[in-house]
Parts: sequence; structure tokens; C-alpha cells
Amino acid sequence: MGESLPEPGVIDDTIVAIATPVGQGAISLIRISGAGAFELLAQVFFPASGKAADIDGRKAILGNLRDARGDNVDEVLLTAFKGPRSYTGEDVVEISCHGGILVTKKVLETLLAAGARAANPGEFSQRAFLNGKMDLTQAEAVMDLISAQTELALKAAGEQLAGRLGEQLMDLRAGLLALVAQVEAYIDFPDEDIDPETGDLLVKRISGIHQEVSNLLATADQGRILREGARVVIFGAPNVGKSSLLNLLLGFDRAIVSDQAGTTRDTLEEVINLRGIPLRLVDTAGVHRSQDKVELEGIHRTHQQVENADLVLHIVDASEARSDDGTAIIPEEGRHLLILNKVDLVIHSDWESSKGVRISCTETCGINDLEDAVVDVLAKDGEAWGNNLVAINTRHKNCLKRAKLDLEAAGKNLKQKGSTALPEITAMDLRSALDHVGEIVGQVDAEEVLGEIFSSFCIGK
Amino acid sequence: MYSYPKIYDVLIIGAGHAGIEAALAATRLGCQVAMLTQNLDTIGQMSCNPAIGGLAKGHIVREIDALGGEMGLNTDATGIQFRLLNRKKGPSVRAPRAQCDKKAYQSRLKVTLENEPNLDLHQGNVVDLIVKNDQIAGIETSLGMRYSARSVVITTGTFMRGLLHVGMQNQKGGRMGDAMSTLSDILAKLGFVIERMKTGTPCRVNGRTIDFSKCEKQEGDADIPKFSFMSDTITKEKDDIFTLNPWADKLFHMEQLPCWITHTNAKTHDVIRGGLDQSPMYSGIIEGVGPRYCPSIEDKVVRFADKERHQLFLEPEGRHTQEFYINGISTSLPYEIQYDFIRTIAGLENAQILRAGYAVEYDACDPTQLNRTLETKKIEGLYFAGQINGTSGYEEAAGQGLMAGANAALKVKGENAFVLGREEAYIGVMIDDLVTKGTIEPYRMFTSRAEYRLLLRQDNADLRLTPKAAERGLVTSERAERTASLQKNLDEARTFVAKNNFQGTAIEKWLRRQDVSWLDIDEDLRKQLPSSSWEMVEIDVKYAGYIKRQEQMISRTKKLENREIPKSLDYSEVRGLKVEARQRLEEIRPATLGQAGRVSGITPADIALLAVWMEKGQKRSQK
Repeated sequence: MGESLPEPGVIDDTIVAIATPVGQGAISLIRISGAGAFELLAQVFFPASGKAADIDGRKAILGNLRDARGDNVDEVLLTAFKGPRSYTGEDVVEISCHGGILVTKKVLETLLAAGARAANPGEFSQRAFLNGKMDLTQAEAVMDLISAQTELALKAAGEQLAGRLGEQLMDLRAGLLALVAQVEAYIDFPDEDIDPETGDLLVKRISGIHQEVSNLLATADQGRILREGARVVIFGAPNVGKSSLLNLLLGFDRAIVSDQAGTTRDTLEEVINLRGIPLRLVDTAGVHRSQDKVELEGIHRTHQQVENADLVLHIVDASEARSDDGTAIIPEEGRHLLILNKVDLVIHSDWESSKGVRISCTETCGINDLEDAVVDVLAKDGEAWGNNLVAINTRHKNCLKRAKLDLEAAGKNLKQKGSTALPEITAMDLRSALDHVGEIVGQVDAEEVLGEIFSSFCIGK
Repeated sequence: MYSYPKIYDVLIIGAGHAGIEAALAATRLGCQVAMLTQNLDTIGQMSCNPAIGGLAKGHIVREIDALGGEMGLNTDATGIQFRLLNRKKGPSVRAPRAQCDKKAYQSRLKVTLENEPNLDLHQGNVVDLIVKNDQIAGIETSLGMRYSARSVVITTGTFMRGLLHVGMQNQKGGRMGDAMSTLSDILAKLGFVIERMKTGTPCRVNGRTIDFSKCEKQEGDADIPKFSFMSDTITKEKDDIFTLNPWADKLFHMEQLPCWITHTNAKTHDVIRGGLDQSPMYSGIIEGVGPRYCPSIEDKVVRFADKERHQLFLEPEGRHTQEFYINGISTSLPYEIQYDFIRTIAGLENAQILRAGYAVEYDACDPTQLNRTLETKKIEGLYFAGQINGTSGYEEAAGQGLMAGANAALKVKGENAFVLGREEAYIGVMIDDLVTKGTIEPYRMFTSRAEYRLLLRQDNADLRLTPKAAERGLVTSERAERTASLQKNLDEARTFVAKNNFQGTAIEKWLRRQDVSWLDIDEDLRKQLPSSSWEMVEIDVKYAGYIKRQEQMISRTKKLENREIPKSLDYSEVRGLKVEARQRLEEIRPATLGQAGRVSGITPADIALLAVWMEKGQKRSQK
């Protein structure tokens, strides 16, 4: 079984939460507290100085936060406070990252993935009180805060888990419960004729549930698109009309448009509403072979944007020959739209048979076709757009990810050489998965597992 | 009214599996103990099946043994068939099970108790409890005898307001052939919440009339799994207590008896369905809640209608008796239906029923009325153990009995309570479940109830518990020394496998592979450690990563488990606590924040509020 309870304030695990109001401020602050805070940060934070992270609570450090794959998440400023001289009295790190929901959430997710636990309502204040950082008169304020925030969190969770998503999660829970019951019955009732569901059959059932979890996690991304906008990255060689396309879609001059190649050296983001779908349009620096340091940095960022995109609009100048100009990085299958710009000019023979969407930014033609194509690609991601209007939040996503890891561990254990996989180990992984799902839709206790066993199997030696 | 001249430290009501361990634990702690039973000839009676152990239950017996209890030794002495269940599964879910000679089992226990110098046995029927200022002072029997005692442990089994059902006929009694007890009336008067439970037992048949050629034979294991670490002390010298299995010539057991497997069939099910209108279960006569894991045959036939047959085990009740227990066919159908359906079963066509199966309804007390020491919250010095707490099973009863008896004695002696945590023992899991969550059906232990299953193994029960028991004076010095040397062997073996190589790698690393065992290691290397050390260290190594995971889980919850909630805490004052949470906490009055977190309906936010409130109280009192 996993942590049946997150134990607020009484145990010293490391908690994390976004401290600034969620929104589009220039800077977001993420706070992390607990005995393992410094250690945890050292895994994911890489100082700009290039030296190993030395987080000691004496100075602010600039550097990059990287996820498990080693990809940069954001450039952040880290301020560490060694306990007891901190807000909570424990080791605390405050991370200032770029504002905006997306970046902030990515930073949060990186820390969760590194082992931090999402803080409960009022938990920072609670720890501060318990560690003697607040006086007696503040205790009641802390208690009010805990109960008020818990009410809010409950309400929000209730709203979120209503409807189809909630049903899917309950189905997942039920499926996992049945699986756990099967394995537990096999363990606890050796003298009953219970089919020893082991080997391939069990592996198959586990991978079925693994698939369900993956599907749910996919809807998490879909939900994010609905809340925060699909990341649509405009990508191409310099001077093919990237910024013009952005401006065209926006309806005003946001990016600097000039004839000189390489004008957009950084990325620009704007949110538009395209037929009801929020799009977060990202204009990028043109990709070409360059020696200029600033430009190279811009190109590097472009590659990152492409990787994180929900959709890449790869724009080319259709009046020019196809060239190997460094744009040949391959965007993810199916999330890639080729756009032929400047079709008002003579189309070069290289592009004549291309299925790309034909537009002209100067003549503002082909925009409807482009919009159709964009909606087509994004809608393919999930089922119809209206179906999953509520999607899981970061905490839920984190729980599901952990459940997914447990299921993978269980599967791996079963496929091990010698096939002497021990059922109690499988059970341990599966129950951990069930606990993580339970954190979202209600914990499963031993009694419920037994209930499932006795209703499914005729036990009674 | 005659007052018995001796004042006892601990008085035990009932001489079943719970009462016996309670009495012996209290005597081991040096207390003057009395035991009252309605019938001295049924001490340690196996009222249902003639078997001890099995999954989780076998674990409990190993724990009882490690804590100095008698059940393991008595099973080893009187067992007639031994098996280690789940041999092919991992070590944490292996468990010993034994068929016992029913008469030998109970007779040996009676003699053991009689030989205990600090223990007085009394035959008598308790009709009243003497309570002064919410403190127990003694008991009264139906013959007008008064016994004074500083503490009392009640272990009444199914006897309180017991009602026995066979078809539409029923009679009062705690067990077929025995009278019932009215003690629950007194408990109700004292303000205890009484629940009604139900359990059942199958018919017994004469083995002379069974055709075993139509049954499948189930033999015991050649490699006998023992329940007790001390079974080599069971000898058969002139002055030794009677035993079936003396330890001599390095041989523990002489000869095992088989069990037999047969099945019900469509015909059996037809007969049963035909009798449902006369079933006290299905006609609503029985109100008590029965256990889901031990359904009657009529329940199985109704609830799992598509199942073509149900497996039955024919278990011998002893070495010399012809009586056989038909495991799997517990019933309360009328005698004539039992007669008919038994005869439809392969091997039982001519079976003669010695005793009919029956259901028993009885009174139990909601166990959330107890502290973790099994002392009642209402009356000081009064303890409950066994079926009175809504449990089922000899092993569950014995485990509680030992803890209740030990705690009653410790309290009289003015010493700290002895409480086992969920991470320490199945007994700890069971008691925590009972006093925190209560139970709606007779509670039975399953390994799935233990969140730290990999740690709570039957093979390490001695290492886990004997040192703790030794600290409290519950075990003999011989047992404590043996365990210490076992621990030393394990430590040495750990060093050995870390320092020595096999096939080019450290043995420790090599043994981690799932497809190898220590038996595959070259003999000259293998010889350097005793096989018992190899077995222990192999489990250690193979489970290592998972054990570490469980240990981390434990350390995460440790702070909460150690944080005691003041007994005087007024939950109505805790700001922000919702009404339902407050009511639940007031009912259960958990001892620690960890236990509070396991109370149903209590959220992490409630625990946070409690933690802040407790801290506030502490700060205020410091001022």
C-alpha cells in the first residue's frame, strides 16, 4: 500500500506549491519546503555558472531547471533559506520562474516528478506554526485557513470530477480494484480453487489498465489545451513569412516584420480564439545556418518550442526552391502542417504537387483553408472537442503518472526472467497504483478489497 | 453470598483460545491469576474445524509463539498433519497450517493450565460484574460466589446469549451441548453497545462410513513446518505433559494423517435449494451478521448459482477418533435436508452424520469501545478478547487474549502498556483495525489487511517480536537467548554474503536473481553457513529493494504514529473541525494522530487541524 494519507505538517516530507496567484504575471514564485528540499532541487537545478548546484541557503542562484529527460524547463532564480531560519522553519527554496500558466505548471510538474508532494491547503502556514515560527495568536488563523482552503479545494475537485472524466476515473479504479482482488485472493486463499491468474493473462490485464491510465493522461493534455490554449508553433526558415502569418492570425502587428532575415530573435506568444479553440501562437526565430551567437540562441529556443508544440505550422516560401536550410528537423507526426506562403507569386516547381495549405499573407488569402486544417489536426487529438470539457489538473496528473509507473513496475516484475514473479510483489505495485488513483477518486481500504474478493470468488473453506 | 478468600490480580472469564493465552501471559508476568469456565472439560475446545493456522492465521500463531504464548507449542504437540501453504509463492505469504487431534489439543492445554503455579482454575458461570467507580473489582457466579480481582478479561466466545439454529428449530447455548451466558445483559446495563453476530459449523460424519476411494487424498508435507521456535522442548519423558509428537532422535513427528477432497454437485445443490424455505438464514429468523469469507453451503449455492460444484475437505478430528469434519459445508438447514444432501456427495453416499451442522448467533461488543490495550474505555481494568470483540478464529482470539492478559497484568503492576504497531505484527494490525474501525462481520485476518506484508513474515516472527516480549518479561530467558543467537547468525550471514563471491559476483548480488537459490551455490561455500542462515539471508536479499520501500513508508508515518493525543482533548473545541469528523473522533478517541488518520471519514485536513490544536494546547501549557 502506498501513503494512505498525506500527513500535513507532521511528517517532514517535501512539499511544493505555486505561491503567486495563477495568471499571467511576469514572474511566478514556487515554494518548496521540507528536509529534502535542497537535495531535491540539486537533482533538477543546474546553475548558470556551470558548476554543480550548491544550494546552501546563503545566496540567490541563477540557472536552469531541467526535467528528467534533461530538457530545460525554464531559466529560474533560486533563493534558498536554511531551516530554521525560513518561513516554515524547514529548509525552504523559492523558485522564481517566468510567469504564465504553462511555464509555472511545468516547473511545478518537474518538482513533483523529482519527488516533492503537492502541498495540502494551508500546509505551509501549518508547518510554520508547528515549527514555532508563528505565535499562539496565529494558530486560529492557520486553522481557519486550513478549513477554508479545504472547503474550496473540495468544491473545485468535486466540480472537476463530475461528468465523463469522473466516470472514466471511477472505471479505472474499479478495474484496478478487481485486479488487486484477483491477486490478493490468489495469495490469501491457496486452498480454494481460484484460478492462479499469473503470467501472460495477468500481464495483459495490467497493460490494459496501463493503457487506460495513458489515455487519461492524454486527456490531461487535451484539457490543458482547452484551458491554456494549444501551443501552435510557427516554424520556418528566415523571411518566409512567419511573423506575417502570426500577425495575420492575430489581426494586428505584434511581431516586428521586416525584409531583413533574422528579425525575430526570440519567441513571441499570443493567444487567439480560433473557432472556439484557444490557440497559443508562438512565433519563432527563423531557423537557418548562422554564426551569430544571439541568433544561435534563438534557433535553439525554436527547436525547444517545436518539441513542446501541440501543432507546428511549418511555413515555407512557395516561390523559392526547396532548400536544405536547417528546417529539416522533423516535427512530430500528425502535428505538423505544411504551409505554402506567397502563393500570390509564381509557385516554384518544387512545391507544385505539395499538399500543403496554400496561403498568401500579403494578399490575405487561404486563411479559411488554414483554419480548417488547424482545427482538423487538433480535433484528431481526442474525440470531439466538447466531450472532455473538464480535464484533470496537475495534482491528478501527478497521481496518474505515479500509478502508471507502478503498473509498469508490476508488468516488468511479471515479465522477469525465470518467471518466478512473486504475487505479493505484484500486489504491492498494484496496490500502490490503486492508492494513487484513490487519491483522486477516493481511497481504497483493505475492507473494500476484501469486499471485491468475496463478491467475485466463492470463498469458504 | 460467599467471597472467595483470595484476591486475584487478573481474572479471566472463559477458557477458550483467548482465555488460555490471557491467563498464561498474566502468569508469566508474575500475577496471581484466576480462570473461570462453565465447564473445565472444554478448556481449549476447537468448537469448529480441527485445524490451526493457514494464511495470516498461521502468521498470528507464529507471533503468539514469539511472544511466549502456548498456541504454537500446543499445535506442534498435537498436530496430525502439517503443511506449509503457498510454498511456491514468496516467503511473506507462506504460512503453516496443521490439522490437530481435537481431544489431544484441548486436553494438553487443560493440563498445561493446571500445572501453572500462579493460576487457579474454577468452574463457574459468571452472572454479574462488580464495578466500583468505573473500575472493575470482581465477578459473581450463578452459585452466589464472589471473586475479587484487580482486573478482569472477558473471553466469552459465542456464549453470550448464544442461540443455536438447525432449520426452524433453535435452542439456547454457546455451543451445541453447552449452556449460554447472560453476561451481555450486564454489559448492556453498564452501557456497552452490543452487536449480534452469527457463525456456523458443518456436520461431522463417521469416517467408518466414508468411501475414501472416491475422494482425492491430500497429504501433509514431508518437510514439516513447525509453529514453535521451541518445539524441540516437547519431549515424552515420564513427567512431561502428554504429547502426540515428541521430539526424539532429531525427529519431530511420527506419522501424519491425510485429509480428503471431494465436491458437491448439481444434485446436492438441488436438495439445498429445495430446503431454503426452511433455512433460518433465508427465512429471516437469524438476525446476526455472518462472515462473508465463511458462507454456509446454502449461501454459496444461492450467491454463486452458476458454480457447478464446491470443493469440500474431509478433515480427521483426531488420530484415534473416527469423527470427520466436512470443511466447506457449514449449514443451518434442517437435519433432514443435511441428511439428504450429504448423501449426494461422492464418498459420502452412506455417511452417517454424528452431529448436525448448525448456525450460532451470539452477542459481541463493538470493539471501538476498547483502547489499543484491549481495555474498555468505560471501565478501568476490564478487558475484552476474542469473539466478544467481533472476531472469528482460534488464532485471532488467542492473539488478542495474549495482549489483553499481558496488558491487564502490566496495568496491575503499574507498568507501561504493551502495544504492537501495524508495522510490527499481524496482531498489531488486527487490534488497530478493531479498535479504530470496528467490524460489521466476524473479523478474520488476511494477509491483505497488512500494509507491511513483506516485513510481517512467519519466518521472522521470533526476530520481530521476541526481543520486545523479553523486554516486558513475557518470554523465558531460554527463548530470548535463542532468538538473540538467531539474530547473530543472520547478521553474520549478511556479512558473509556481502564479503564472499560466487561466480565472480558478491553472493549478495548473485542471490538477488529470481531464478536462483542458495541451494545452487557450490557446496564448499554453502557449508560455511547453517542452512537456516542461508534461508534467512536469501529472503533478505531477494526482498531487499521492496523491504526498503516498506521501511520508507513506515518512517514516513512514524511521527504521526508516535504523536499521542491527550486523553482529555475536547474535540468540540477544535476550530474548523467538521461535525461528522468531531463525532467520529469523539466515539473512537484515537490514541495517536496516526490512529486518528485511520478512523473512517477522517481527512488529512482534519489531522492537520488536530495537530495545530494540540500544538496550541502545548504552547499554552508551557506559558
